[in-house]
Amino acid sequence: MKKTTLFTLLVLLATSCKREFIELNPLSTVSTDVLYKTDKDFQDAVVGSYNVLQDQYRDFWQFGDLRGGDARNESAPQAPFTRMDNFTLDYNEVVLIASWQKYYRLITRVNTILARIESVDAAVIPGKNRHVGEARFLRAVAYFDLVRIYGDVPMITKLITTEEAYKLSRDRVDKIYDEVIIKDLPDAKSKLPATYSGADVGRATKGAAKALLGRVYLTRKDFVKAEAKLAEVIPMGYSLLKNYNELFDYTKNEHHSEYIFDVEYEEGIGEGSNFTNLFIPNATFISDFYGVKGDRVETASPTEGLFDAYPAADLRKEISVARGITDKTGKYIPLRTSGVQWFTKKYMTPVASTNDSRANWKIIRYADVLLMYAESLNENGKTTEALTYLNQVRNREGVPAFATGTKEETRERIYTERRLEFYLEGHRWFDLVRTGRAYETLKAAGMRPHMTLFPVPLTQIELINDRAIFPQNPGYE
Amino acid sequence: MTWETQQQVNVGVDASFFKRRLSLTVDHFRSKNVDLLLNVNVPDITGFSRSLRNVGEVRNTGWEFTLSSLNLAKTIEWTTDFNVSFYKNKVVRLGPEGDPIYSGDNVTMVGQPIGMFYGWLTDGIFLNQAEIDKGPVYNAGAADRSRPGDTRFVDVSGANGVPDGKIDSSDKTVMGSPYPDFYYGMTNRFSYRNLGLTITLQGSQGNEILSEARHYTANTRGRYRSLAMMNNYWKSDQDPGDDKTPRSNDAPTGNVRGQYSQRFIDDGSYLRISNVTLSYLIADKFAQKIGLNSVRVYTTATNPFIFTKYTGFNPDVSNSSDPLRPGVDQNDYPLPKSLVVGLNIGF
Repeated sequence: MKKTTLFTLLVLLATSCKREFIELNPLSTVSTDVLYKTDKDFQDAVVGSYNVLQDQYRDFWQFGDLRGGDARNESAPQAPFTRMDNFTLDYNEVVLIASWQKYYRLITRVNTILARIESVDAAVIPGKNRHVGEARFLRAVAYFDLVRIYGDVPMITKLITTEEAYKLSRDRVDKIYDEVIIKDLPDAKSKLPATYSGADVGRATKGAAKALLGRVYLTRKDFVKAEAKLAEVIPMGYSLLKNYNELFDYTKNEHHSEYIFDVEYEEGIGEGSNFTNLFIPNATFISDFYGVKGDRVETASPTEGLFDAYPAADLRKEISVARGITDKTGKYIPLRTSGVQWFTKKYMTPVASTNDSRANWKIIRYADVLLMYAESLNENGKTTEALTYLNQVRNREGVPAFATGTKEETRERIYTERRLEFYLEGHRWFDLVRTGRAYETLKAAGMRPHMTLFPVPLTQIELINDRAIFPQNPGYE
Repeated sequence: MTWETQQQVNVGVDASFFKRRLSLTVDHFRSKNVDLLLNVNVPDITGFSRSLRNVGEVRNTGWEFTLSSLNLAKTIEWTTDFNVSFYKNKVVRLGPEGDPIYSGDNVTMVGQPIGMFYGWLTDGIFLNQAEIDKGPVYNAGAADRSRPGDTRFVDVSGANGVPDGKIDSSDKTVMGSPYPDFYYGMTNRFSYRNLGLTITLQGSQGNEILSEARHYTANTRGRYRSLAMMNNYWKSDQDPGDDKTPRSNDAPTGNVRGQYSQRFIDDGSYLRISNVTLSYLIADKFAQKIGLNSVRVYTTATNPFIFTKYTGFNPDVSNSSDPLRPGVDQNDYPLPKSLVVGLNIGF
């Protein structure tokens, strides 16, 4: 009762004074009405959008790898990771609720930038093209992830009111590809620079937009367009690093010749990633060896199947996964002699405090472009040509090149190559789904046919509360 | 968006009897809150998860009775103050469409009080495979489907609005109320010569508590210490425990842990002796002899006793900052018991 009395008092007060007296702009925060005026404002807003992506990609391995069967949660059963791993998660899973939230937060930030920038005099915003290009690139990333995780989702490309949000339906995946993703990426491509310098390095580039568009076409099985788009990336000046292990030496510059687009993390300034602490095995001699302080969670260890899939000569094996370490004296110490005996090595780098690793998350790198290009060529009947690009990747890894092969053999070889090349880089699950192999590969792990999509968070379905326009995905009702 | 407005009517009677030795106050109010201003969940597709909105209309009615009596006024003086209040609230209108507001495990829907507990009703546990075969089973066919020893939920409804033999989100329903039938409080004061005794008690009757705390303290995981109520759990067909406590199982099956259900609801009625103070005023003459005006010694016990069936620390959990989530215990800090012995000296 007290609260309401106070409230009535306030109402009385409010009517007796001038509007300006009670409608003040807060001093501690900036409201959107006074922002979005200068070039700096828009630049900051774009950084705010990257920020959501950085947040979301701390969890992306769960979708791309934990679900994909090659990485297994080996920590003392941490239920959410186990549920992702063994296909028992449901519509209340926190990572699903949070991901939905973050992707739409990113989309809203981008939509705000795009709406506001049009109402500002272009002369005041010298960086307008780049801001728009980066914003649309990020929106494409968000929608591409959304449709691959949840399937049909509301397609929102402008600012909406809360009232409107209750009436929006889940739009078809195809519509979102055609009307957003495949429109945003070419526009981003035309507006973004090929490279950056100084502090701007790490922002989305022309090459990133093209390569991602190539992946989008490949995902849609539009191999002709994928081939054409990826062919444009090949002569852009990217090249494979000489050694596979340089990709995972985070003490060096991560923006090397093979880098195309990463989610950026940096240690010591509150912008670190969690990958090193998440994946390191729970053994002090290993964390001491790598100089990793803080948690040892062991949430993504290679399965034995993956461990054995690497050919003996494959140089990637020793860099990606391991059974132990060789200490300074040259002595080999195995991780364990019973139970889980292998671990993920790719993300090991000195870390001073928990979840503050400098390791970036690679969204797209040149080896991926080469293998996607090879896959498109092969699907388009150009198997011989495909083999040359496949072999470019194999050459680095110390495994023999394939001189010949049928289209079917080559397809399988490219799939295997992707599996070994990109272990725990967020590809495995989405590769299995887009090539239609997810169910056969993972049914033994508990997958059922409808699980190529994840359930939509129940909280969102209940808020809209109209199953006719906003239903749950089949199999999860 | 506009201000929330409230219209309220109060009617009260003050009466006293027996030369004012007994006085009674009766207060009745009816109020209507329009354009209810609440921070509610909104679809994430707006880019935000919560937003302040004018969401509807709520009616409140209440009766408050206060009774004060001077029971004895001789050498022994004894007074009693007693109060009891009955409140009811009901949501009349909600948003443009009248859709319920789900906030965590509470629901606010038209025709019900604000923030009722929302979840699955339970019907004991599956004692054996035969009962599993009968159903209703959670997530049939999946790896985490219900097994013998898991909680049996009630098949309230289905995708088409009728029970369908499956346990899913459409089976969620109002499963309890955080509102008591009444609150009460009483203070008794006794004095005999220089000796004084005051006893204060308060309580609520008929409310329920959703113990989110039990998600941790009674989680059937088997790896952590649990409340004693979990001791007699289902072990096998032959040893089904108390027939209501689910089996201990680290990997969640049958959704015994994922969702809040009636299993987490407790009777929240309580009676608390919140204060007992005993004091003695040392005779003025004696005090003056040692150069003081007055000396009083006393001892106060705060919260010495509580009578409740609730398993958590403190059944008085109505301290949530979210008005849409009343009656939820999230391992709130327990009330301290204290015993103070004191000396009052006047110079």
